[in-house]
Amino acid sequence: MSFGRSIVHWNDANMSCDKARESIADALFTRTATSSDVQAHLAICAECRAYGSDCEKLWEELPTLSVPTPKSKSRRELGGLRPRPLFVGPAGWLVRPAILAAGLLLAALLGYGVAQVQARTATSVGATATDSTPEYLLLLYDSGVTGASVSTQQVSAIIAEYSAWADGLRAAGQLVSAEKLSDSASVWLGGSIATVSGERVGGFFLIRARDLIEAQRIAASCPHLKHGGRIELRPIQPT
Amino acid sequence: VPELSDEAVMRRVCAGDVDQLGVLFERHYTRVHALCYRLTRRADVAEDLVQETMLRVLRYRASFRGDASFRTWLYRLAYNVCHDHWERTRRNDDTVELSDQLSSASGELPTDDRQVLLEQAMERLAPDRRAVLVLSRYEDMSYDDIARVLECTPAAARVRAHRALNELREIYRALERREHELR
Repeated sequence: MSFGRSIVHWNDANMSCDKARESIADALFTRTATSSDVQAHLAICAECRAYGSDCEKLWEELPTLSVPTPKSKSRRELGGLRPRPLFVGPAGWLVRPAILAAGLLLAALLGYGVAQVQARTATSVGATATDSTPEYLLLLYDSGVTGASVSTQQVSAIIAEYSAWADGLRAAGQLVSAEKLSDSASVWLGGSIATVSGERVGGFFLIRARDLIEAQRIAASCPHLKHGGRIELRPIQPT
Repeated sequence: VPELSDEAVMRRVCAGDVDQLGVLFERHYTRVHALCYRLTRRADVAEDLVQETMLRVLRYRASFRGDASFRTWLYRLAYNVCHDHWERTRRNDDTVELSDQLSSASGELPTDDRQVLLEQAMERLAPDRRAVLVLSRYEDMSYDDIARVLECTPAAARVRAHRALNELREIYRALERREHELR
């Protein structure tokens, strides 16, 4: 006998084994009883009886498998969330900093999300900047150190802070785009660049500003700095 | 004051009140964590996957239209996050050799051993098959809801469910037989 293959055994109950087993599976998945036809088939088919018994036993035992408790002390302490891998060490192993302001990291990522959605839907209505206005790249480095537990209320407040900041730029027509970078391991070509331990570019904002001074003023107002992150400001070379 | 439903809270988020996300995080964190763990069987990444799921709630909030429950929509995001994880970490070294002829085990294993084998069988099950079992058995979802999460038809979800149960049994019995041989 081979389970899972397209075998067809007809018997006195006028039901194929395949059909009977489908019905057995349906009964488990839909929490219903098997029909009298299936019962009649099982009465004379030992193989399908064994199949039904095995499946029922596995089905009953599935809820006994345990789930590890989340590392966060409680649902209210998002700051206890485990951080993502931040950089690849010399041996190619994923390295995690011992402590990370994960709540702030989450908030920052959510901030990027807000900005990204808004940037994509932004219009130039009321914009003060134009296509010819110089562009600047803000590279946001995630802090790799410190951070006490952050409550959901605090996270929400931080998210709102990033959102308001991005909203202001959008309304002024100064937000070109914003993206969160993938958390997958970096691929370095031509040698890696050392950064402060645990620090990594987590995302960027592309903005428009009249000049470097205004760009600096905008970057300095980004909540990322206030929450321990660093920003690298680079002018885009005009074409 | 009656508590707002998830859908009502989500509508507020969609309207720009992102503060309300905290309410949804708090309500669903533990269950989404359990879902991510059960889908991936990886305790070391489950919390990262929850974070990513919650990020996507905000990112893709405009796609929540209320035609399905918030939980179903949330689980679809979580499933997609886990699917991306599988794609990143796909390995071919966990295939179990199964013989076509499965002989009956000579006796029942102790309960603890059965749990260990079932854990191993779930780990070896193909991710998309495992997902159907998890969504039905642990989340009590119907074929229709499973189809919404997996973005397939209910008929396809049903076929996957049958195959998942078949394969779980095959893998479990192969592991069980090996266990008996080793003793």
